[in-house]
Amino acid sequence: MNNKLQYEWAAVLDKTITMCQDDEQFHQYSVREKMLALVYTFLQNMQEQETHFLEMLHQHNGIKRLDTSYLKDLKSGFESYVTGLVEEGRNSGEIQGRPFLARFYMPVLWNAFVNILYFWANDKSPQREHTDVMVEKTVHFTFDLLAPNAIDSGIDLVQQYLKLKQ
Amino acid sequence: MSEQQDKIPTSKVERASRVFRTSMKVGANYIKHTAQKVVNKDLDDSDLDEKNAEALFQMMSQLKGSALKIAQMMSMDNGLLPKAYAEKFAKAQNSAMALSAPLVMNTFQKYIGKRPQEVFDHFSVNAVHAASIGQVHRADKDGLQLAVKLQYPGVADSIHSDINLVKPMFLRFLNLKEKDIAPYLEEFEERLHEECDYEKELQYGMEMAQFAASIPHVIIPRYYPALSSKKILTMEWMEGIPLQEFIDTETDPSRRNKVGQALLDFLHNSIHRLQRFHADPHPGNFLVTKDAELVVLDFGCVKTIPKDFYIHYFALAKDDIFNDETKLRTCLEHLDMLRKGDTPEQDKLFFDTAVRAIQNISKPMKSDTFYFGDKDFYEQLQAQGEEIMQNKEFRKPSAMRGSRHAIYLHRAFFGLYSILYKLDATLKIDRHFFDDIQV
Repeated sequence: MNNKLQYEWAAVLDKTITMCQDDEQFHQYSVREKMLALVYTFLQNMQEQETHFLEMLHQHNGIKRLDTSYLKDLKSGFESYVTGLVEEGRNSGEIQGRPFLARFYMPVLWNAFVNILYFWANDKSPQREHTDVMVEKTVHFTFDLLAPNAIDSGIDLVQQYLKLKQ
Repeated sequence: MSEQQDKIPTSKVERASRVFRTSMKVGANYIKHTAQKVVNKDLDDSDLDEKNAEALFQMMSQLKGSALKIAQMMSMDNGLLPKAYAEKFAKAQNSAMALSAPLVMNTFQKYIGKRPQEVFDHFSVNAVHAASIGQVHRADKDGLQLAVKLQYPGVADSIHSDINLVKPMFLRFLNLKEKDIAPYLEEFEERLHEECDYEKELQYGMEMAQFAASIPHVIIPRYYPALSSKKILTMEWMEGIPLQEFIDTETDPSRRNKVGQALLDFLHNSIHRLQRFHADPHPGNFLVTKDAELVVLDFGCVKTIPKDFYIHYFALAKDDIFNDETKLRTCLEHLDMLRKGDTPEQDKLFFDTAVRAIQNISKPMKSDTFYFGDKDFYEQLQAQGEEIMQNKEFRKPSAMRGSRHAIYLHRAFFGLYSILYKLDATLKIDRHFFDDIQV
C-alpha cells in the first residue's frame, strides 16, 4: 500500500517534468520561472486525481505534517530535478553559490513546495486561485533568498574585517 | 511607482498592516502640520492634503487591485477628494506587469482548458499593458489581431475586505459616518464586483457593440466569447492612439470636434435610449483612429439606471419642469435631494444647492450647440463640488443626500465634460431625447 502511494506522487512529478521539458517555452524561462512552471504544472496534474491526493494530504494535516515519509519518492525526485535547476541558476548568476549556506538550499525549496501542497489541499477559493498567488509569492521569496543579496555582502564584510584585523 | 505595484499583497494581515502604517503616517503629518501652523499662521491646508495624499497613494499602489480602483473612482468625482489626492490617484492608471509567464500559462490552462500557444497562432507572454485588476497580452489567430485581457488571481474576492480596509481612512478624510454612506459603498462594491467579472463585461461589450453600430464614428471592438471566461477576455486588437495623446497633439479643430461629437453621442444615446452606459469615461479607455474615429474600450464599469430615476433626473433639464416649483420639488424628492421632515433652513439649503447644481450640469443641454471649452463653465462645475465639501452644513449626517444611482451618472458626466473641455470642442446637442420626458 505504502509503496503504491509513493509511486503515485513520483509518477505525477515524472509526468510534470516530461510536460515541462516538452514545452518549447519552458526552455526560454529563467530558473525562477522554470520553478514556477514546475509547481503550476504539478498542481494541475494532481487535479486529475484530486480527491485521492486531497485525502492523503488531509490525513497528514496538523502535527502529522512532520511525517513526510509518504512523500519520500516525491522528495528524491524533486531534489534530483531541482538540484539541476539550482546548478543552472548558479551558472546563469541567478543563484548565489554560498560555501556554508548552499547545503540548506534544497531543504528550503522542498519545504516551500510541501507548504504549497498543503495550502492547495486547504484552499477553498474558486478554481483554487489563492494557491496561484501563494505559489507566485513563495517561489519569489525563496528565489530572492537564493539570489545574490544582503547575506553575501554581509559575508564579504565579515571576511574582509577578519582579514584586515590580522 | 511601477516597482511598488509589482507584487500583489494578498493576505489580509499584510494589507491590514499597510493600512495601519499609512494611518500612522497620516497622523504624523497632522501633528507636523499643526506644529508648523503654530509658527506660521497662514499655512494652507492643501499642503497637508498633499502629504496625506502621498502616504495614502503609496498604500493604495501597494494594495493594488480593488483598493486602487476605489481610489481612482474617488478621484474621478470632482470635489469628492481634495485636488491634491485626485491628481495623485489619476496618475496611478498604468502600472507594471505583475504575473509571471508560468502563471499566465496556468491561468489559461485553468479557465480555457488549453495553453495559449494551442489557442492562438501567436501569443506574447509579456503583457503589453497592465492596469489595476489585470493585464493585457497581444495575440493573433487566423490573421486576426487580438487583445487578451487576463485578471490577476485573488482580485475578485478581496474587494469586500479592500473596501473595509480603506473605508476608515476615507471616512476620516471626508469627515463622514459609516452609516450615512452605506448605500454608496454598496453601489461601489456592486460595480467593482461586476468589473472583476469578465463574463459580464463580455456581455455588456457585445451589447454595446451592437447598439453603437448606428452611432457615427464610434467603434467598439469585436469580442470573442469562445476565447473568454470569467478571468480571460479576448477581443479585437484596435489600432489607434490613446485619447490623451490625441488631445495633446491634434491641431485640427474639426478632427477634435469629430471625436468629441462621437463621445457625446455615444454617451447620450446609451443613457437615453438604453438607460445603460459606460460609467468610466476617462481618457485611458478610448483610442482615436487615424480617421479620427473614437474607439471605446473596456466595458468593465457599466451602470444601468432605473427608469423612474432616469425620468425624474432628466426632467430637471427641461425648462418647463425646472421653472415649475411644484414639479421641481417632486423630482428632487424622488432623487432624495429633498426629504419630507427637513427643517425650513435645511430645505432652503438643499433646494438652493440642487438648483444651482442643476443649472450648471444641464447648461450644455439648453441650446442646439455648445462650446465645451468654455473655461467659466468648466470651472463652475469643479468649484461646485469643492464648495459642497467645504460647507460644514454638508458634513452633517442628514446632509448625505442623493440617490445611489446618481454617483455613476455624475461620474460619467464629469468624465465626459472634462474630456470635452480638454478637446476644446464645439458640439451639436441632440435635444429630442428630452421630448418624451414628463413628470
